[in-house]
Amino acid sequence: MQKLLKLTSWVAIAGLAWTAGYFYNARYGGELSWLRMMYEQKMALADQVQGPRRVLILGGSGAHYTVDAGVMQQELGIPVLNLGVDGPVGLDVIIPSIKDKIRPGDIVLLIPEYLLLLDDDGFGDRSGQFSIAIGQPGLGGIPAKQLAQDTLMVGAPTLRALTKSSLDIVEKGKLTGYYSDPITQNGDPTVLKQRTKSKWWQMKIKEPISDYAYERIAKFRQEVEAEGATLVLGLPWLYASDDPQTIENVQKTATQLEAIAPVLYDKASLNLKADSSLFADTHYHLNQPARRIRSTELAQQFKQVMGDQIAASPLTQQPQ
Amino acid sequence: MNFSEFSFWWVLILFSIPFFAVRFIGQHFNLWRPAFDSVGLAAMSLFLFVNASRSSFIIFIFEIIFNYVLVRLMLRRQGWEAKMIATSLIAIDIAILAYFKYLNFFVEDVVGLLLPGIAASWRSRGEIPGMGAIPPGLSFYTFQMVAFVVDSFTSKKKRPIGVIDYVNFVSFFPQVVAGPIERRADLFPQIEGFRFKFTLDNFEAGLRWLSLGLFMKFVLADNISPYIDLEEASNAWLVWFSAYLFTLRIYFDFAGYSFIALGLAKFVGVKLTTNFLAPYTSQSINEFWRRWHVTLSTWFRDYVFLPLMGSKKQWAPFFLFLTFTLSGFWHGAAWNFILWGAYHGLLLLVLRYAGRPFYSFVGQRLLMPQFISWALTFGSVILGCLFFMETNVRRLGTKLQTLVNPEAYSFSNISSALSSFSTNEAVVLGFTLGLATLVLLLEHVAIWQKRESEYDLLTSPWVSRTLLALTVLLAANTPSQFIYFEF
Repeated sequence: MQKLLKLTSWVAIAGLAWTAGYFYNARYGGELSWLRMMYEQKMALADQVQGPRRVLILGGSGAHYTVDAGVMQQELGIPVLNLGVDGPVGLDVIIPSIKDKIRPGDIVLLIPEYLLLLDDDGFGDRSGQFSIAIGQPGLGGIPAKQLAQDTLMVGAPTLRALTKSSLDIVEKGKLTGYYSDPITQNGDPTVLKQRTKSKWWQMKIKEPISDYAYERIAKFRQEVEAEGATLVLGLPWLYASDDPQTIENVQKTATQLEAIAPVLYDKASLNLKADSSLFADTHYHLNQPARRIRSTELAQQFKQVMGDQIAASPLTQQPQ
Repeated sequence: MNFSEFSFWWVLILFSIPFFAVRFIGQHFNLWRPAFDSVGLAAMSLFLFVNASRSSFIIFIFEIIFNYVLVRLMLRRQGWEAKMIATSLIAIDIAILAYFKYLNFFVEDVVGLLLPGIAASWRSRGEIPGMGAIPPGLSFYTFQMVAFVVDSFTSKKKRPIGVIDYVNFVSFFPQVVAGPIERRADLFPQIEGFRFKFTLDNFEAGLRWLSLGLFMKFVLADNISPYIDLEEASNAWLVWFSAYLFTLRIYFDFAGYSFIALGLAKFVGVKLTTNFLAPYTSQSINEFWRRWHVTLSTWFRDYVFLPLMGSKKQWAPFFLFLTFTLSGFWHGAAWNFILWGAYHGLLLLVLRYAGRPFYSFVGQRLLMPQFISWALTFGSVILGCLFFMETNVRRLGTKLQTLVNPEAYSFSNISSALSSFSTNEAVVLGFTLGLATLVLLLEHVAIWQKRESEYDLLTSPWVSRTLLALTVLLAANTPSQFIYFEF
């Protein structure tokens, strides 16, 4: 009996440590917890914002940190919500995580980063942990092995993260994270991080959209339309190289996406930018002026693609 | 097996749940035969091996069949016939290892030194089958098979060996890829007619070693690893510091692996050899080699040094030097490993001829001579790690020049070294080094107290449970590759 108790104590100690780690990672303190809170705030906004038609912008941080939904709302005259979360969550988890917020008449604007477009399986580093944190483990059909590994890791905070949090408390008097800053009523970020240490380099796109991503987005169109909504796609702005390979791959990607739904992008530049001063901390995230320019341009492209449907009656027609 | 890959644990669980469920039901209805345990262990080990590396598995299976058939034949023969079979078998085993591990090095770096044209022509032939990375585990299981041949040849009892027993001996999943290199006398009696011994004591003991191993690998080695800067060659402080960090990392990495293996083996009722005996508590380089990678050191002693020396005991120092140089070469087909082996061989010779006079000199004139011996030994090991970690021989030369240049120890270099870390990095590193020091201190205390094991304190009930909790909380989420997987 005593030996059995000894063994139970191992399970208890591992369980306690894992629970503490889970609380830190997923509930309060760790990066995942801030992402979960931001996601939940965005979902709450999606529930609150009414209207016969809304524009819901989806994607990873390449949507969250590049679009100013407030500016777009002014330009378009209809509610616009920025529901972008985080690229490593993966396309297969991002899509179902917002699917039940889509209402008839909505226009869903998906702006996936190339990380998502080039991915071969739809899952990223944070797929499993994000699904667990938002209380929907395995969302999007995460494979059992990855889910088991992510479940284990969601209770492991790491020394590096705990140190960062401890220093945060000492230096700032509170815990912070990449996604911990407040968001606006449109779901936009209120604080933009700037690149500090690492130097810029122009990103190259070495492949066009993967077959998997193409099929998943095509399926998403069907899912969106089943809800009585409309899918529109967008190419992200990217600080990129203008080498022929990159241009060819982006062009191919745009052409393939156009076979699924209307694609918003500048056909001359393919949304590939050569000026790093437009960007904040990553090749996708834009600084404040650039976000405004980008959002105004996006609204114009939106109007061109959707024609009179934006200003007139609720959108019930499918894009041609 | 790669314990830092989730895949290993996943396959282990996927295999174990149905297998042990069937075993339990079989036992309940009295249908389970004891021999099924042996077959089950063999299947488990081979299944895990396939999952770890398919290419290495093919070589492994070939070697198992080849070795088993010839050992069986050898045991039936006497005299020169048995000797010839044993010699041929060992030669072929070593030839297979040499092909995968050393052929490129031999042609490009040895022959290429004399005839540069040959190296260029060799490279232009393109990829030769098996000339990429060394198949995982090859050198470890080759050594174990070679030792088995020798031990079987010299064994007085020439009993036939069962094929499943042999498979289990060479493929036992906790230790097949990176050791410990087990000997016939230690492991075979435990594996022969294998039965799973799931007792609470075995689980308790297994969990203690497992938690120590996991802590050493995932908390200490993996949190130290990102701070080892191989590129820096001009700042003497940073060169020393990186070598010091590597010294800690390689111990926690490999000892961590060995203790995880030991813990896993305990679960099923097998006692593996303890491959590390607190090597950084050593007060001489001689003692260090009795404590570091014990099963490899004794392998080289028994199967290289002693046979080489034979009766020529007056040549012992030379053969000792040669054995250590060969041991360095075993670690990798590169000049830095040969230099590292030769360096340690040289240190042993220095100790042999100057150790006692030096210790008596220090003992008479200075306080705490034991501490001085420890510091000199540890310092020598750190310098040795510089050879071990640096595969770029040109840069190694630059680093050695830097270390002997007084100007490289300037105050500006100290401030440059200190400012190379952000606050976050410095705190993480400082905390990890604090934990590492505490672990090494507990090893020292266990030795001072003459405890049963060097890790008695670290495997004590509450320390090991604390280590498990700390592993869950502090483990790095991007594990670094086990260093010894490259060998």
